[in-house]
Amino acid sequence: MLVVHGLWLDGGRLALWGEDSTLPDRPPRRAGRAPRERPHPFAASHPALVEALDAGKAATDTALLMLPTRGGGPLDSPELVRVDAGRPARGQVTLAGWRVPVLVFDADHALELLRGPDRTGQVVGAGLRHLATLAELAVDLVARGRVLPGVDGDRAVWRPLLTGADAGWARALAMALPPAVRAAVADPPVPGPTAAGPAPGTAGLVADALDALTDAAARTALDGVSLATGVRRATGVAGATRAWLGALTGRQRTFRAGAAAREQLAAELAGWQRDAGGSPVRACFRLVEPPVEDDAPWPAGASDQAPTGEPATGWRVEFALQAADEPSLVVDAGQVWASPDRLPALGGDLDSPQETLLAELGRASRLWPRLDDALRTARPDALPLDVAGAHRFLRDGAPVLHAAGFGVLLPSWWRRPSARLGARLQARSRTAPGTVATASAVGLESIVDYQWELSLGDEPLTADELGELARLKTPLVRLRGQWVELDAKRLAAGLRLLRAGGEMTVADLLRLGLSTPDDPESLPVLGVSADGPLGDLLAGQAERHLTPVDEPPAFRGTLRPYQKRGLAWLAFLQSLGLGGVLADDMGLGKTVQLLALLAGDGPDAGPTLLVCPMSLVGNWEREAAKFAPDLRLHVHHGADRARGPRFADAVAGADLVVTTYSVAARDAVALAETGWHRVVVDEAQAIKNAATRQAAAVRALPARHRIAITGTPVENRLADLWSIMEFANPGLLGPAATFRRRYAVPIERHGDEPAAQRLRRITGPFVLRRLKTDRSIITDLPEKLEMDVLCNLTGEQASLYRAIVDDMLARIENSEGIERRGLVLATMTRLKQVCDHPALLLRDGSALPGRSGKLARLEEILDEVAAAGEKALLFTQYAEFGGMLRAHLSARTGREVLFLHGGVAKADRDAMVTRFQRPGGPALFVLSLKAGGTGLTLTAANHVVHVDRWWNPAVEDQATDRAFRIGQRRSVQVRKFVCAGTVEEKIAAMIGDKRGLAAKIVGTGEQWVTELSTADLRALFALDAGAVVE
Amino acid sequence: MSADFADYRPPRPVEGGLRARSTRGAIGESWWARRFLAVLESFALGTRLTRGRSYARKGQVVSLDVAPGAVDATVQGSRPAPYRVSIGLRPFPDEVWDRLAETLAGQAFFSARLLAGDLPPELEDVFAAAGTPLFPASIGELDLRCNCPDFAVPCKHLAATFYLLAEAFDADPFQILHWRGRGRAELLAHLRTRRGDPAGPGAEAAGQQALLPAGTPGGTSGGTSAGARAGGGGGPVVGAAAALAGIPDPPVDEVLDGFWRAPVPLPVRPATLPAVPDLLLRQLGPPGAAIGGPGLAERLRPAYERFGSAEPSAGEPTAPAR
Repeated sequence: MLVVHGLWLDGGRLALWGEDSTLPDRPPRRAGRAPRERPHPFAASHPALVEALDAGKAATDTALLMLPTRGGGPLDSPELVRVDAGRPARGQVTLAGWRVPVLVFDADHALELLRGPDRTGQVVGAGLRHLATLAELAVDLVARGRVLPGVDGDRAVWRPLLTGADAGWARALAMALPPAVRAAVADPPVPGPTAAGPAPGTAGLVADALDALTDAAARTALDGVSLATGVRRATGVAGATRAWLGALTGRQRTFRAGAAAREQLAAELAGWQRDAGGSPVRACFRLVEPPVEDDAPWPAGASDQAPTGEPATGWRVEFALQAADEPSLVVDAGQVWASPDRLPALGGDLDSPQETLLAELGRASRLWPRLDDALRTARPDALPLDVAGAHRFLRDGAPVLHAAGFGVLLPSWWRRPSARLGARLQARSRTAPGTVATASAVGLESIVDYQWELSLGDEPLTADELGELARLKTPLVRLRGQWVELDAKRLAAGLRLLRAGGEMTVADLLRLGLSTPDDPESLPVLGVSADGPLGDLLAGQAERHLTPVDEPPAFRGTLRPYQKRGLAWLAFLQSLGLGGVLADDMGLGKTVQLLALLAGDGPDAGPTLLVCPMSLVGNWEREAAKFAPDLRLHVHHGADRARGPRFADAVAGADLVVTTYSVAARDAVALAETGWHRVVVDEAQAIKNAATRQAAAVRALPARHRIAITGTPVENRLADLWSIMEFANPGLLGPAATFRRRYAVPIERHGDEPAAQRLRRITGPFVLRRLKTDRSIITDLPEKLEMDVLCNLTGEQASLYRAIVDDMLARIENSEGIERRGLVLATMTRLKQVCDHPALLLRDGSALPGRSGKLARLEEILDEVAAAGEKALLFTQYAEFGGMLRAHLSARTGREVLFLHGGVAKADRDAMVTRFQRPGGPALFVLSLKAGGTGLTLTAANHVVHVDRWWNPAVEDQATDRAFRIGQRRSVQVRKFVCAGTVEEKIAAMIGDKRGLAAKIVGTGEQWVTELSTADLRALFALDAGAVVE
Repeated sequence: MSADFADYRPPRPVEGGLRARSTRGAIGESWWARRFLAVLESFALGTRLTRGRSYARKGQVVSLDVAPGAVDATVQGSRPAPYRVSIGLRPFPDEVWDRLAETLAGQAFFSARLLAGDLPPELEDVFAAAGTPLFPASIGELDLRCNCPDFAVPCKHLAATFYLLAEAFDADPFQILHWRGRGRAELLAHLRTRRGDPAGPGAEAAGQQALLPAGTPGGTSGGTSAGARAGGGGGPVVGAAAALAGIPDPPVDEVLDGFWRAPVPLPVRPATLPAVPDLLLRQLGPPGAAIGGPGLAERLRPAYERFGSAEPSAGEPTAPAR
């Protein structure tokens, strides 16, 4: 495998180099002092890089890197997977020069590459990933127009303008730059006694990268645009300007112009753009409400005091000077006029404060011409406004001034939803209110009476009041002590709504109340209220208010109280004909809640289709058999799966059909022909990308009831939420593009809290997410939760497994005594290794992803652990596999993964433990069972995964207790991986039975296997049919 | 044509002469510069005007100095010694300036606009109302001198000087007022006093230096048309380096154990303000006349519109995992 690393070189170039795990990890020994530079022993060759990155166009070169080195060889990057993990590490780590082959990309190609470093399918180092984040910022700056054209020598360039939050983010990116990105040193190196020149500075390197990437991003966006079209030829600086405009688009950056003309152009541009960054002291505009004269509760005497012809006056925009980097330092204009010389209050030495204020006001008046009115006096300190003017300032002036870098202070009620006119929909169901929600109590088609109520925030308004407000014809009005915005068109719409009313179906009620109209003139729907269970649903409180539903008789098991509430919620949504997203924290038992729901289905309900990742098929089979044994289950998977009439028969005879995402996409047409009672998607992150084939296929399946199950918090990535909700309740969140514009961009990019609230209100009723940290949940939870996790073999694993069994059994038959025992144990080891990963058995350093069922399942679980911000311990008995896991997971997550094996010195081990225990430290700790089983305290983890089994509960428990010991305050989840249909599952079943052999097995490891007859061994080792799901 | 032979010889090239920034078409972008040139162009005709303009563009004007009542320039012609050119215009007497200052100080509008780099049209009305028009009404008010042999007035050297002067006015409207008797610092100090708070002597000059970029004496290079900003600390504001100054830079050999990783965790990206993509064009004043003035901003506008309309790519370019 290759690990690809990125370097940023001088002059806006990206260089990629790679580590190749198939090459020896250190150069041949040579006598004498280490030379100043040596060829890197395991750097990928040019052809290997070109092939891996599909980069035929890149220039090839070499670079001298200063890399951490120990024992005469460069250290592996943490992402590199080696077969022989854990080579003994001795000696001091120093920096030494190593020469590596590199591919060099200019900025345009670098941007293309960095926008999709993972598309190459190669493992990517943290440094390259970091450069990709820089590229993302560059693209975003261009999309928001935060760039300005300039001149750099003889080149036309687009440069980023970093202010405010952008500057902060750029600084954070610079400070978090992995040193590996600046490993390249001057080449050819300066001859001399010192090993090499200093590494390039962080700030300089990041600035160079950001400048070059921004320029490339602007040019990408301007593809096909020409700015110089129609400009007449000219000489001198005008000619230079023309040539420069031409060079601002396309890939050709240099432009022809005389040196003097270029310099003059550069100076002119600099002069023009000098104001762009804002100044250290800026003008600040503060809108002040009129003084309250009479705060009599409205509308008492409204007709007396309502100014009809004369608009209300008394608003003011006050002027001040403000320190840009310390916005709390504000000096009012009045004080500026009183201090002609200096203004110490603003910090620094602000001389000539009056001229500063005047110049700022002059600039601001370009953007907000109304300001001129205030400047007709000698010492202006405020602009008086009437109410319409104040409203125009709030709506138009303030945003422009703010965006241009002026300080703007607005009253807090502005943009607060409670200061807007909105509509509330009130429904009354015709069934008796207050009863427990039972199936068919409310249906989507049942009729409710409804009426609209208009309100300002929480204050309801009567029709009379509304009419009075409409008559005022004023955009801002003081109502019950608070200023509110009134929009004439919305008022008119409100009056029309009040006259409406009547009855509608529950479905219409939900659509009206929860969907968001795209028309800006229509009234925002502030809320929908209803009585009874419908009201609970709309309030997002259904789960708490519903009567918990007991386990149905067909369910074998006991539900915890919160699981009974979850079951009630699922049943309730089903009775309304609505879909839901069950998003409980991992370990809270989403599977059993769903199985309980299925077990409660009536005999004529029809089949449920469950779509899950391949890695979970076995788990569902087993859990269903355990908790709902009466469910007739059909697995629709594999090359020999039923098709056509056979499939129809299978479905007709099943209550639950389990299939995988890939089959759901492939057999979409056949699956859509069945009238499903219910479609469930497990690990619903699989359809987070709405455009993928499997997401589209799953959405197209017709069903009466839809449930998405996910342990990853969906609310964090709004695009994912949209896609999953579009499956559960199609159309609820509107078209994807609208959703992005109205919710995703405002919330994710601009931190728009009202939009986030609105979204929560809409989605809340349909998402049930309970956290382990929730007090009402945690009391139900045991302190330690042990789960066997059943994994599947991939096709490759299965064929290797069968080959081992056939080969070894033949040899075992022809041997006896010590030799036979050795062969049996070797067989066990090889089978367990192939269950872990083919690469562990083959030791060929081949790539890891997509070849092991256990690895796939582990990745899914660790994604949820990461999403919850928690930590996990991963135990394996094979140190080699530990090394592979560390490298693979580290590359996959882009974060450090710790690895403790027998070769780690005590001091290093203690340091690892300390770092793992620290908040914010590494989240994953791989331990070899032998090295890490005892003594350590690793209570920062509340997840333990035994990737393979020792068959010795005492040893395993001891390992588990690294996390589950004094100091652990959370419940610990322990997962033991077992491959279905293999020797692993069979032994696990024997131990689980606690009968027969179990007494002998416990505490003895694997020795007992050697005593079995060959026939018993054959039965134990043989791979069961159906173990492979691929 | 009754001219000296020198007329038909090319002028001697000048090293580092003051070139007109505008290299084609009309010189002078702002209404006030155009207004000033109109006086010249209404009077002088034909080739002298054209040649004067071409002199201005070639950089034949060696120096240009604006002082109360007189603009002095040296212009390189075809002879070895440059010609001395001066354009005299009677400065307003102190009592006129006192009266004017009264009016100007009474409305912050005038100072605000001037400091932002504009000459508001209302200012001309103020001067007219005071009986002292800001711009000369005819060439007769100007005392035009050039020591070249050309008997025609204005000669091409004078014309070249006119053009460069117009550009100086473009860049800094205070220059017109300076010509008429009050330099920027003096005028601002005067207005400040009038505004009602006597400034301590001595404090003023230092103040001006620190706060406002000094008006470029020749006004022909550097371009201050964008208007003076407070602070104005040196260094470019555009480009990533401006935002990244002062980032700590630990030597690589001190971070060996974290060599491959981010030395500090990356915080959550802060929210950015929503803004229209062409905000920067709207926020900045027009570019200098030499590089196309407001026309250049219009040329660039389609680029910004394109930036804003480019859909963010559907894929996640930097998904956190996988």
